[in-house]
Amino acid sequence: MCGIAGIILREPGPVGDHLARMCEAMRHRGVDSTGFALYGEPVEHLVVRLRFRDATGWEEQLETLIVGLRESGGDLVADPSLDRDPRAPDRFARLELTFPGPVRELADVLAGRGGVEIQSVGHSLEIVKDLGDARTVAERHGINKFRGTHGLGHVRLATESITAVSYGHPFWAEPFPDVAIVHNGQLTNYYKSRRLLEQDGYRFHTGNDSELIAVYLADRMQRGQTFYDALKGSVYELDGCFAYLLSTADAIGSAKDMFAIKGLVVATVEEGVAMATEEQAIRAVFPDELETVHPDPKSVFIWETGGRVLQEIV
Amino acid sequence: MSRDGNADPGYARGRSHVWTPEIIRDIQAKADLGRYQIRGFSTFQRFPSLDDLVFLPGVMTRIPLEGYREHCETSTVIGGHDPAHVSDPLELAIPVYLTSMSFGALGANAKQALARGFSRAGSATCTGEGGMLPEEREASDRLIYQMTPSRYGLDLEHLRLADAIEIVIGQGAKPGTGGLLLGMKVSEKVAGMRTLPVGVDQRSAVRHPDFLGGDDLQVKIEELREATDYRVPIILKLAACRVLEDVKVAAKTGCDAIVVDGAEASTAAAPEFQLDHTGIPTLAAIPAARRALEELGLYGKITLIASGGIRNGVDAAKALALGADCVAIGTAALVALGCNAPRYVEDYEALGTAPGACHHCHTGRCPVGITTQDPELEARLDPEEGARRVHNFLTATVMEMTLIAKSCGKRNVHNLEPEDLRAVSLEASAFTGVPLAGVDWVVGPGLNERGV
Amino acid sequence: MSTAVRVEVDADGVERLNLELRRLAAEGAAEIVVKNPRSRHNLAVGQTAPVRILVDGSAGYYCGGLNAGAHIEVARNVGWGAGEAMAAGSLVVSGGAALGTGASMRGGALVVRGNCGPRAGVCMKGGTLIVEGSVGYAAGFMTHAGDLIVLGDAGEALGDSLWEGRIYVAGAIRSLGNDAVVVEPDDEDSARVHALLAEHAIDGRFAFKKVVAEQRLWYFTSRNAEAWLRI
Repeated sequence: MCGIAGIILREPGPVGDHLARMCEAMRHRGVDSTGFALYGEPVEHLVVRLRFRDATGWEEQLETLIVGLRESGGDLVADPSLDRDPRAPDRFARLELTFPGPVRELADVLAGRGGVEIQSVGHSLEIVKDLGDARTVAERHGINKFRGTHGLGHVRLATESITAVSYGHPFWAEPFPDVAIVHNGQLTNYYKSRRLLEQDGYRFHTGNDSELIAVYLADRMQRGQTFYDALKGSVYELDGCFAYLLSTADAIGSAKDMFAIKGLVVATVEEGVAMATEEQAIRAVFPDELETVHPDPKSVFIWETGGRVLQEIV
Repeated sequence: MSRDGNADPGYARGRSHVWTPEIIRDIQAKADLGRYQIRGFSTFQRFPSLDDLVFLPGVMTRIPLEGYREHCETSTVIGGHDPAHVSDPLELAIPVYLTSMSFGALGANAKQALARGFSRAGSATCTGEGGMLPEEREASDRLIYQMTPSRYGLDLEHLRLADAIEIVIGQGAKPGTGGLLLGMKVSEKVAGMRTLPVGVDQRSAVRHPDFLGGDDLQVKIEELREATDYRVPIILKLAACRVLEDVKVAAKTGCDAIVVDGAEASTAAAPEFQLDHTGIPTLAAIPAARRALEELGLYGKITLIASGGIRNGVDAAKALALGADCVAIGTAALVALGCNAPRYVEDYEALGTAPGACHHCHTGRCPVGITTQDPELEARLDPEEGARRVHNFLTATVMEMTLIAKSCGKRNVHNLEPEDLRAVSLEASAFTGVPLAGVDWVVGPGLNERGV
Repeated sequence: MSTAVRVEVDADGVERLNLELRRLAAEGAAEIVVKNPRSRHNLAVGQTAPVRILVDGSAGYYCGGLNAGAHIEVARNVGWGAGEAMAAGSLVVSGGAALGTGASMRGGALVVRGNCGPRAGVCMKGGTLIVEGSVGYAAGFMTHAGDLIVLGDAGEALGDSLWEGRIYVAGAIRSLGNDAVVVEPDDEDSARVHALLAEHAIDGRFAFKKVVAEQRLWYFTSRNAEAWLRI
């Protein structure tokens, strides 16, 4: 149970600030953790967001990880940027790197030794998530300064799974670079679906049911589905209640459950399209009165950065 | 070997442990009706219960208080920890109030008798889902107004007349489903209060129409506070299921109190299989609820109320020791009123049952006039005599609680702790984290070490 | 005092705004304008006086909830549960409404000029809900009583599990819910719908389909076993 937000701008702009304000306006929907999936200017190499679980010993872990990266044929293309909040029990790092192999292998290289969580991998996607309310997380990670084309935000009210950084949203759809999801609701076929996907070799890093959506979509795309088709299929294959947003390098998509249990409001504004669990979140950024759409149950939408919109009730 | 010989005891008993007489009867009934069976009362399952816990009164290490002389405090406050949002917390003289039982499930005489009895004991009653009966408001000094998913009779005026508001998320007798009131009890008055056609089999909604999760519920609670001027506490009633997680979500909505209703809870009508096969027992639910609040740092700040199969003062004392601040009783109060009493025996027989075994609340033919809307049957219950019996029962209940507490050396029943208990069964120890008697060994990882 | 008063929605929220509205009404304000509503939740809930409250923009959840006499007008959109449990008075929404509009309302009139989201009129127990646009999924779900009038189209599962509520739809019905059935409206229906629309100055020169309960789910008896198995 949570609040979700998304925004897609016609021109690159302050997506970080927009999403931070949208999340802050939905503070009452959850303060256990907050997270953002932000899309900046795409680069040739990969941008990786990492979290070292323990503030002591992270330097060594980072060294080891860089050695491992170089042994696998990859390399850093810039110095890592690090979050050095001395009060925090953990450390966050942003790496820019090249890697010759598939992203899945990169994930093994980076996180294989433990102690490290990959928050995202992409050419433009950067996921930042942390414990606390929207303002705390945005301030700590400088979210408001982030400029880009689009992104997602999430405030979490933990339900059945624990409150932990890795359990927060957005979830990166490993191993797909640049794909992330945020979800409001709960899935009632999580354990069974998870077992089936694990049997097929997928990895789950948390016990949060929403992670299933990311892995499910990754699997369907791996099998060659477009992400529009994957969204459509999810309406029938995921059980429970949900309104979720999926983001890729050039689009945001949404899907809603069959019984219209979870809410979503979409507003088209001059600057682009914004969507959130509650209208007041959108108005925290666009204070003027809005033309809004409430997607129907079973509906899927895709808003592309180029302005094209696809929508369907499946 | 012949069938009628004595050589094969299986044949002689003629009884399978798989296909028991109850199962056979159930299948035959389904074949007759084309639906599952519905009945009232509580589960017929045998769960590990509060009976598997015993108190450890003071011996050499602790000094008991004089059970028949020294005072032991019982006053209880619901929702007293947030004066900014609750100007008038619900103050009870005793940590026992009447759980929600609707007018509809119960007749008006029963509602009045209970309201008077609990009021005399300085306690509260709850409207249940059928709306606020004027007679009950009149008779009850402290009335909790219930808001259920179907919102029967939901009315601003009644909300403002209430001393607390209880939002039902689920009930222990039948978690995950709405209320049920069969046509025999949907009298003109009941139907009028619920805006239903007279005589229909009412099946209530399970989901609230305008909030669908803890995130939205936070907004709903604010609405109710705005509408009632931040006066009364707001209670959430939960069926005991995933208690640790459910209570955490409930606590984060900003409510003032949480009821955890165990699987032993009764109802006037439910699909039989739900009574027997859904939800977790009360003794397992209370420690889990306490732990949920502790993990959020809200233990003692949100009032924790336990219900479901609380039968007497000893059960209530154990519930308090396990972590509840208060208990709610239902069936025990009905039994005090005369439920299952050996009167009008021929009417029990007409229902195919007998005093002591009656669970036919759903039929509306209650022989003692409690769970009925039939004026003739209802007349068998004199509200004043009923009130006297209920008050007597509550007095005895509180005497049991205080005597136990004093024997444990406590001058306040709220000072009972899990450490005052020992388990006499492996299950009870594993469910509650209370050590086994004698060896002081906890079955399983114990309450405080359980991982997620 | 019989004047118009302006109230600003506080940037931090609505806490105790409704008490302020009630106080102003009690002092005799005839009209209160709520400025900068910012799609905030719980605007104008629990009002009892027959005061006119104008919400100057969009409101969030439960706008006009538990209304017992005020005449509330919202210039733009409303969120979930607008006019929930309303007993008297009116709520007129110039824009659209989200989920559960008029949930469990018992009286008064609720008019939505735009479209409604899912479950409009859910558990409604009286009064009139007029939607000039279309209604979404499961409009009239478990509607006990009252009139739900839709000038546009109805989505899936219209009138699911109806009790004695009446639904009138001018446009297309995507699908009917369990136990809902379309019947021919009679003259009385027509007169009633047009009268209700006329009360709100809405042009009602449409042909309506009427949806009521087939009553196959009203009785939990074996004669309707088949109906139960459908769910």
